[in-house]
Amino acid sequence: MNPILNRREFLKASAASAASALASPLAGLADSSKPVPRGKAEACIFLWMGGGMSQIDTFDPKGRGDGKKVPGCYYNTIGTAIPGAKVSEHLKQTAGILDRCVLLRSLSHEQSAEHGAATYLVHTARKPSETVVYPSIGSVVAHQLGPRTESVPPYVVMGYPNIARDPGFLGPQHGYVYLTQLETGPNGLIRAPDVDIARQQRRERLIGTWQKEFERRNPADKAAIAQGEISRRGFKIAGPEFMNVFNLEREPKTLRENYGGEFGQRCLLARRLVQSGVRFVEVSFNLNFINGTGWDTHNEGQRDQHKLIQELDRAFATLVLDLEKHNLLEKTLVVIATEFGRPPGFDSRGGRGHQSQGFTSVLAGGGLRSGQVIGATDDSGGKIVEHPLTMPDYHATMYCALGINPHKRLHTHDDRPVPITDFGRPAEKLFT
Amino acid sequence: MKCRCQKIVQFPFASLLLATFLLSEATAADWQIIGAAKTNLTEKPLTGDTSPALSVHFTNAGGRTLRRAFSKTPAFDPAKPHRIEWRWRFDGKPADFGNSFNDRINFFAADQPQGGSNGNSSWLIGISSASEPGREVHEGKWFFFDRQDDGDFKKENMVSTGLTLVPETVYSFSVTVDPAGGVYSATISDGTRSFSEAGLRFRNDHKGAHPVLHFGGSASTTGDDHRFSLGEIRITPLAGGTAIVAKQPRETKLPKPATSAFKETAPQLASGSTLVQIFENVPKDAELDLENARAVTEYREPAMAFTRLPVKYSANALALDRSSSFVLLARTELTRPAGEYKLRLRARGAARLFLGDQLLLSTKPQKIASDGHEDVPEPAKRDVAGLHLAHYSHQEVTITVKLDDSPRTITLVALIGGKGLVPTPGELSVAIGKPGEMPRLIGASDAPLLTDDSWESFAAWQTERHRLADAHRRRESGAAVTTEWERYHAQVREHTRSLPPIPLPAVTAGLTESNTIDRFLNARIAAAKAKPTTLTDDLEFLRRLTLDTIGLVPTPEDIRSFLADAPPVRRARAIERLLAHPGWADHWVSYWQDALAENPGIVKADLNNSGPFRWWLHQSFSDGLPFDRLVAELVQMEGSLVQGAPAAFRMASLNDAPMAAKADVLAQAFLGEKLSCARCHDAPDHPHKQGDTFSLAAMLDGKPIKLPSSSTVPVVEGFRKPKITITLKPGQSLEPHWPFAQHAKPTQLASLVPISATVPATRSEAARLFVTPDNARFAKVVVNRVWKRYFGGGFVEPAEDWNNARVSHPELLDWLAREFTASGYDLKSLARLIFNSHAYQRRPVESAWADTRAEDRVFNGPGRRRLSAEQLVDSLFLIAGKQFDCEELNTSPAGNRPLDTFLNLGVPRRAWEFTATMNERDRPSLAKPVAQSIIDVLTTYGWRQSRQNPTTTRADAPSPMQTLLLANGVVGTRIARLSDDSAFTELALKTQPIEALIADTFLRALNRPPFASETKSATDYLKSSHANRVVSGVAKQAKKLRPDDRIGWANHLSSEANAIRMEEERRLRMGDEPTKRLRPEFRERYEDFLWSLLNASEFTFIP
Repeated sequence: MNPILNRREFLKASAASAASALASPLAGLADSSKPVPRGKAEACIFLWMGGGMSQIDTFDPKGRGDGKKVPGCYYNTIGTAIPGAKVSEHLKQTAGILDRCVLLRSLSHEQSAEHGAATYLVHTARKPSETVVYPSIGSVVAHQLGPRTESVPPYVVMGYPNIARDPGFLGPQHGYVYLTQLETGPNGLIRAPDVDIARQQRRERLIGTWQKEFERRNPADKAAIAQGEISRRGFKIAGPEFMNVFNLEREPKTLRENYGGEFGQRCLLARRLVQSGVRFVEVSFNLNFINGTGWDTHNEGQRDQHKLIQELDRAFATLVLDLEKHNLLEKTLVVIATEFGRPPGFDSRGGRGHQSQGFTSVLAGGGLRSGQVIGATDDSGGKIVEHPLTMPDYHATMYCALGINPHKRLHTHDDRPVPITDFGRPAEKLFT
Repeated sequence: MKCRCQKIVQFPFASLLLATFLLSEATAADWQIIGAAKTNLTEKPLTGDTSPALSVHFTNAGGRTLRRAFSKTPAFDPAKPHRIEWRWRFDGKPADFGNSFNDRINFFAADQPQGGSNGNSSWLIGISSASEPGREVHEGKWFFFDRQDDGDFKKENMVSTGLTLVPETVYSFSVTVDPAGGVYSATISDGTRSFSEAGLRFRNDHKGAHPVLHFGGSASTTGDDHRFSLGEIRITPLAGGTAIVAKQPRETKLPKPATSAFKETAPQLASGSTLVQIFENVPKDAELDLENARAVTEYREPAMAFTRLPVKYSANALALDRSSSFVLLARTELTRPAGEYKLRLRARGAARLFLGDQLLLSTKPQKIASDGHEDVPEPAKRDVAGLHLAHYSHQEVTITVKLDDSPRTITLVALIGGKGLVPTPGELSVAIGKPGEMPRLIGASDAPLLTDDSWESFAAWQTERHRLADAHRRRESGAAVTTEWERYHAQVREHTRSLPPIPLPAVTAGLTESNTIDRFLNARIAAAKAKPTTLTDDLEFLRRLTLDTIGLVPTPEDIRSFLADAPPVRRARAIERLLAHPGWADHWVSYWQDALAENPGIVKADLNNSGPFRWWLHQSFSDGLPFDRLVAELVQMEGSLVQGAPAAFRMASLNDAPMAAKADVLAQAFLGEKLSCARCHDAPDHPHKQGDTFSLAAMLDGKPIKLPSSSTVPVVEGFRKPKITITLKPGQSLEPHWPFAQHAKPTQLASLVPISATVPATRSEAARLFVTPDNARFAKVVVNRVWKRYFGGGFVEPAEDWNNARVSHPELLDWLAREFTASGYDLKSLARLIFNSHAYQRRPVESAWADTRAEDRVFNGPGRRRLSAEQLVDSLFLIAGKQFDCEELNTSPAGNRPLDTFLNLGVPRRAWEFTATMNERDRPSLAKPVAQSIIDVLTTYGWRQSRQNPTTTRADAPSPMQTLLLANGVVGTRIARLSDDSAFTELALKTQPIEALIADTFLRALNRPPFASETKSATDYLKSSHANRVVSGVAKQAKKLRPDDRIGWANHLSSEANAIRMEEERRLRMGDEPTKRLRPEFRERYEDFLWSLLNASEFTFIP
């Protein structure tokens, strides 16, 4: 069957970077047989800064702004372990380990108005369509890499269920397990508080009794037999081994303190999940109780933004070093992602609006050639001047890091071929 | 002077010899309607005319007028003598033109447009069916008005013609007008007899031009069928010259003047003491000046409290929006023993309370919310212990007054809705009580107290009453359209009878045949040498049938009634009972939500969302709409968007070509034509071109569509050409055109499908072509879908894509399609046939039919099926006797954000009412923990929380996560938990032997008695703790924790809001509070037993 082209993305890609599109050897129609660069990642930790993280106040600062008429970074800037690259002063720890990281400073898409639509776009690299319901990057990774063992779910979210994270046409079996609070654990995996192991075993024995009866009465019923088999597998997943992953008390106290607050603890749990075999962990930044608006710093939200940045700084730097210590960094792609960035100028109450053409994502690990900056914005910070990265390009880069071919065709249940990305061109410089 | 005696002269109607020329053809803009009406051109002209008549059907009670102004032209000067001639025929129900003064017909001219006949007319001809006090008329006789001393409606002023109103008779009228003299003469003829009179004086006694002609009348009751046909209008200047022949409008769409009002009769709500009126389009600052305003809706409530208002319906029973803001006026008479009383007004927005003429209390207009930065408000203080508190968005104002014991009028005027506000009353109420005492709602002396429980039951009762009243009002306001469809279906029946019959195969010896379906199936089973599966036993059958009709498992009570019927009639009776059950609607909504991609977004819908047309789907199945009518209404997309009428189907947020998306949905759903591959290019493996999709899209839009550049694959210079073909260019314009001539053409039969007159012509044309009986594909696609639903596999696969499809049972499919069509597209009739077949009642074959190619399917039994997500969740809660107890699906409970960005989908009662919570912002304050716990189960079992595209088959294969989520998750825990509101708790408390408890539990959960070995296993598990399981002296806990309704968009950025929701999440995880009436040891064991039955595979299968 012929590939179905996503006209909208293709058109934007052509328009946004006509020259580079024509010149690049990967331009033109996707051919899944051509070789693609590969990283070494076997799992991904996707740190989600919901609300639109201001790149100009974090990873792509420019001159000093004043929060009123003079645009620019709200804070001072500092040097980093990448020569020539600066970040804002509240990213001290991260600055020191930036040589393990890559800054993608030229992300671009057109959905600057709606958070919901932009979140969907960054998670799926597509706009919602009425002909195909696209899967999120987490579902694709879980689908392509599969779980490491039978007893570990491949895709875990620390945050709320939303359509952007959903598996789309891949089906609910490639969906995620999620938790909203560390104390309560993931819904469905963790037994009800009043059911201890002994009680659970008694229950499973009772089920076994009815199950045997049912299968005895329906010996040729393929569906009944399959169902029994699947149920048994299901109960294996929530075994004690996997449940212990959620018990952070097992980690040294100093390490937990280094990670910092709620978000940091989530990052620690993410490391443990990856160690246990989870392929894709999305960690939503815990917006609450810190500055009200979270990263969506319109108006007065800007005031306490530095607290968010500091929280991110500790957690991220500690995570990268922790992974490194466990020899996991090369095998784990860590991503700081957000739905869009923010413009260099300020709004009438000292905050910032949205900017979707020219924002930043940070990658670390995954066997990438780190210590680089890909793409650039101009001196004001409002425009891309080098190597624009569309959402397909961004996704292609991450997929390649995970050893997944971004042009490979997935199939919907009615046999329609859908490439993993629409002509995404990975940033070649990141790969050996 | 004039001869007043009746002259009855027999002569054929003479044709006029004056030269007449066609000078103008009426266009839609020339006519105006006063009243609610539908019009269309008739097939044949009235006898003697040359062009078709206009068929007019008013549906409102009261005045009804079709009027047209004839302006001065070089040919015609209305100030000069002229003759007006026209033909007219009554097509309505004689019984409706009954014994009321208000059943009248009148034709007249005036110098200004009038709403109905009144003193301001020149010539007037009419008929009135009865007199009324003060107005003695010539009952039932056509008259000519002849003013004597005044213009009153009385015999002295009316010349009786002696002719009565006879249906189907074409009457010819002729009026010769002398404007300068203020007199006219008139002639009426019914084809055999005629009557003339001259020298009749103008009713208003004004001389001069009266160029506005009116044809209409009045009806005493809404829905009175006084249909009529109005032929050409010929105006001939007497001084010579050419005449005007005004033919009837070619377009059937007639505009209404902006001030027309549709007055409903009061629905049959429980008789109560408060009269409620709703006024729309009230000018700003005139909210209290309602004396001369006409209420659009009028009804009664038993108390002065409003949580819901009546829905306004169009003539075809579709929900309509009221004006953006409207005024509610409630008035009652209050009598209390003399004393001091505190009056308490609660309102979200502006309201005033009057005692007699005196203004006692007022509240301020509601403010639109700012963006999420508000604090969580403090809980209000109660000035009386136990007082129910309204939502914090309400203002409460009180006043203490001294009353004597005489009756006093209490009037409440409230402004509802407005820009940026929701058009609902919230908890608008007025209460009265002695100072310091618990107040009651204003009403009778036993009106509800204002406590939490009492308010909750009142609100629930009000909701139920209104649901019934809404259904009644739909029937009333839609009666004429329903009759129209009935007449049409009679013609459809005629038509199918005229078709060559479909031959039945011979009876197959040795195989059981319950009805014609078996006849067909048996022939194939025998030919394939297959064996029918055995018959289900009665309880297996009941479980399956109940799930297939109402989406729920049967309760023990259902089982008992079923078994009480004699065995030979038991199953047939169960089928009839369940087909009549209201759950029929619930179970079908789920199916069509998927197939039609119903996809509302409750917060800032920006993900290819539609509106919430689920409500109209439910209403249509509830009201028993014939299926062709349902589809025709869907295609025509009328009514209110936010209230979920078919207009909500039109919406596709942020989609570059919504009508193209809808064209695909409709083509897949009803024609088996999958246009999705022809959205951006010609389809690679289907015969569809992109032009087909967009031509149909243009038909739906009512006008040509330009192909958006984002809907086409670009061919960029220097790149290889794409392998698919593209025949259209971006920006190319496509005309409305029906792309499926192979299925339907505009035939005579198709033109009979009733359509709406207020919809673009090409869209209603598309509706006709989808549902006409000449479209055999339509009936077959629907039959195939229904068959697939009940048998687990269709005659054709995929059900939504018949391209190159092979049919397993072509003759049976044809026969069922014919039956379905002849029945008037009655889904219940089709379902009845299927359920009564022997094949349906057999045990399932050993695998799913989905694993076999369609053409190889023999249907020796139904396929193996599992419960759908909705059936599972609804059944679990039903079995446990629990409610969802879920949050309202409303992110703006304060009601101060516009409905189109913040939808309110209410509190779900069945699973289909859920939707995605849209918490992309990852905020606990925007989460709905209880709803989410149920949504999690639904999505894991294949239900879609976001339906961007239409589907027929779900991705609901068994998976380990399904098992896990049900076993450990919140829903499973709640269902198995023996809380005080669980039906199983009551069962466990019942004094009965342990074997009986076990049998009851199996019956409730699995709808069958346990096998001996099962009884043994369960007894072993429970016996040690069973004997002294009951804790005596402990009362049932009534209190239940409700979700905090202070949290919403207005304060979603507040830390406190987040903390409150997170605490609710934690509490939810603990499960429902266990009962204290059972000892923990037994309770836990019984819970384990329950849990194991519900988590074993058998529960998830349909027997």
